[in-house]
Amino acid sequence: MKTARRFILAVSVLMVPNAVWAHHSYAMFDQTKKLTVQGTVRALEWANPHVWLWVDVSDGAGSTVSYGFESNAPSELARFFGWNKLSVIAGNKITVDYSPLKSGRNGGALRTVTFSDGRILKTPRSDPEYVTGPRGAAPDTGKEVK
Amino acid sequence: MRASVVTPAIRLMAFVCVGFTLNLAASGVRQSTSSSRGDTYASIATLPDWSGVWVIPFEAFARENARERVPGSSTGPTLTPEEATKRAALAQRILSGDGQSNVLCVPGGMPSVMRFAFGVEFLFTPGRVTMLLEQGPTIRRIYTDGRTHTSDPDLTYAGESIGHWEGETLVVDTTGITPRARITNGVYGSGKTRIVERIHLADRTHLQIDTVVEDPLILQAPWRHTRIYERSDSGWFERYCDNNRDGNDAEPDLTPPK
Repeated sequence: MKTARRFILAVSVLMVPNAVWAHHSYAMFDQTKKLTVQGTVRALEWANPHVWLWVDVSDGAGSTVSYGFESNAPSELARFFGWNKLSVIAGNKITVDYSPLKSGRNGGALRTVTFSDGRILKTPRSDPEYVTGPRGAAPDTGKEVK
Repeated sequence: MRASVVTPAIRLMAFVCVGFTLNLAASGVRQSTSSSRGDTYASIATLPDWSGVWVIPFEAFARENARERVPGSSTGPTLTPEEATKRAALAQRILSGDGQSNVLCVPGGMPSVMRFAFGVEFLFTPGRVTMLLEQGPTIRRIYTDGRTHTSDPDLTYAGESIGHWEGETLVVDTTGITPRARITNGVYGSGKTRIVERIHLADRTHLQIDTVVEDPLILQAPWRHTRIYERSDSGWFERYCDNNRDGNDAEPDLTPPK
């Protein structure tokens, strides 16, 4: 029993979200949550190691607060998700889906950008399972899983 | 939406970890009779056309990344028990906010740097193949002029690479890798890592690299894997960490740009 319990412990410890090993851990984001805000683009930082999108959001009392959203590298967004440095420009009215910072500060991991005309810009986190794999994945068989 | 052309068939091909067997000498570098190929500008013309930027499709990268986390995964390295415990402890520290993964943008090094969905370029000059890696600042210099490994090289992120041509395949033997380099996610080498890669075109637009990683102190068994890179027309992206807002792993810098 002791051995079995140890094994279970070992397995559960090893089953950490893979995103823990990204450039930084992503432990700062709650990737189980998806929040949405609407606002006006302040800036797109098309820079390395990661692209940041800055959005001014109305606080409902006549002023705005700035939100920061982190995504992947420019090369990844450009090659695989159709972005470029002018995909989002200051003044665009957008809706942002994101995984919030656990600290509760204004920002998070960028999931999807939706423009007022309905156009969508995706990122690797638009579908979190795309990056982190299905939760509770079955043991790997060594075969490609489609 | 995607800039690169990725068909389902290609995706299927990517990361098929076949239990391929490599007939590689366990130690030492075999001197091929064709090792002089590529030693002159004239003979470079006889080498295969590897021009362009080669990239692992993001989805293939992501799927390998996801599979690797499953204990006992046949696609990931088999760690020694001590190493497995260390890796798990590191993961827990990071998850609890006490520990940093790579917030300072240090290079991943060999062999980890080869696994990402970033560009790879090959340059042929006499007696040498050079690999430029977009993911980080690492440049790999692979000497094909018949030299052998030095006896006590300074340990580096790229390591010391000696190569030779076997037909259309470049066989590369790499040692001299710093223990600061990663084998993969959360796994660092011991300084005794040895990597043998067989690099060849699968077809005109796909480059295949069959890799065997050995590290007597970290890996329980050689880690064999195959990756497929696509020839991309998307150009090259510079990647210097000049806007790193993640210097503190627990919380990013949320100061908006001016």
